[in-house]
Amino acid sequence: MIAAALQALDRHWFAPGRLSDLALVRIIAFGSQTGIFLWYPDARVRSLPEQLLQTSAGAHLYDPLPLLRIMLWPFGQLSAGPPEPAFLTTVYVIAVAAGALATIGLFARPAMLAAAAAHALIVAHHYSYGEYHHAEALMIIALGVLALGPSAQVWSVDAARRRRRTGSPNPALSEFARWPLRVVQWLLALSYLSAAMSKLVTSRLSWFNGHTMTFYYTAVALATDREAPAHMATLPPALHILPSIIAWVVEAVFFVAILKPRYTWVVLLFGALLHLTVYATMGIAFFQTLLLYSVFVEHLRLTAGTPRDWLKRRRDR
Amino acid sequence: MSDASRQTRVLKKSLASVVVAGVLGMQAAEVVSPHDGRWWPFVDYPMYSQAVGPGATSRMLELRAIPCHRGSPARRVTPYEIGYKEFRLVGSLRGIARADRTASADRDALSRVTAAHVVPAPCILEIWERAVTTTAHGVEPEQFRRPAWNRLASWEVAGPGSVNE
Repeated sequence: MIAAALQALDRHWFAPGRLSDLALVRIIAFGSQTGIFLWYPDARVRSLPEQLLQTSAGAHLYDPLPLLRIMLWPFGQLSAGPPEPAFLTTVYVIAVAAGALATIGLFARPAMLAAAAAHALIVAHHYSYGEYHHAEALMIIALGVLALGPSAQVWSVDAARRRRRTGSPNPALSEFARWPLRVVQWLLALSYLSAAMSKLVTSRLSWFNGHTMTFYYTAVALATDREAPAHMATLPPALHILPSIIAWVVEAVFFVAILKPRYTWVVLLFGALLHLTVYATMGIAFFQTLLLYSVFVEHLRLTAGTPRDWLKRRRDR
Repeated sequence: MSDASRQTRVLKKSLASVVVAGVLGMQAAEVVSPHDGRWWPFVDYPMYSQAVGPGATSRMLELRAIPCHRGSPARRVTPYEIGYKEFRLVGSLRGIARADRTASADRDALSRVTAAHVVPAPCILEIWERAVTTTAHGVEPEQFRRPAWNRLASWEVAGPGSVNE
């Protein structure tokens, strides 16, 4: 019984997987974090000038996260105040340069490790002034995990150089190609489960009363002065009940996408709709999470026929 | 497979297993017993989980600066221009408006950073509030169309005193 469970676990984490799946996620994760999320959607806040302003104007708010403390310690930046501007500037340059190298897979292992560390330091610094946010959390962990796996064995400059040097093709499968993707899949599931459980534990069924969403739309409309949430807040609260239930169900059953590959595309479709609706109505962006859905590439490929067949059946009907 | 490569494979698997257990363990621990973001990026996700009923009031606080130059209009001070973040600034403003224990320190800090970073330099800082109350039928559109602001507090940047209203 125990041996069977261990075998199942071993298959779950270490069954041979396509290295190209892992490489795809490497390109998406490092590419988007370096090319987009370092600048957008909070470009003004995340930008180097804003972070340097934080170190001077916001110095009295500085309360470094443990992660930042750990990362600053080897560089002697662990004083009472924020890191020095020259140090932050250097880390920023490393984040961009190493992120670009990691994306194309040149000197991939050190580049991925350096990029993961630099991005983690930048965002951790940004969140060390009395306020943190969630959007980057999973992406930052994902970068670290990807950096430890064979994420650049294929679809990389390193792989092309190796092939040219040895004359033999790169391997297509590896028993170490699956675990980084699995880790991110379970991180996603745990995060969604946390959101679903929080609502139930904090509010029980009253969270679905429609007035709750009216209130949050109101709060966002006041904070951002945007039209969309203001409009949503003026709708009858009863209209928010069904979307609230759907959102909660998506969060609560997201782990099905891992355990039942046949339904992965349905869960991801509803998850994407949830995030896009939240962005359209409240302006709250979780694009990093959406891009991390790419860790389900194998599930989607295996069931690629399912949505296509379904649409075809509907057309034929 | 040679003994050496088998050993390498087992070692790699063991290391990967340690990373898997460590990462997922930390995330699971944070979900079960959260620490309010202290162990970021391992965080729980409780956003928007507090239920409310009809009649709940949402409040928005704003910091405004009145320049020393006579005749210059008051303007909103955004958190970003003074090195703050939104919720952190709102927390400080709320504390000042309520005359909390930290009000004096927060007021001094805001005076200092606005004097250094806001252009034109302000002589008076004010805290304004806008509140919207929901009803059983949603929010009346009029509340968004004609926002009503109330001044909660004001103080001189250079001076020691403050007036809560």
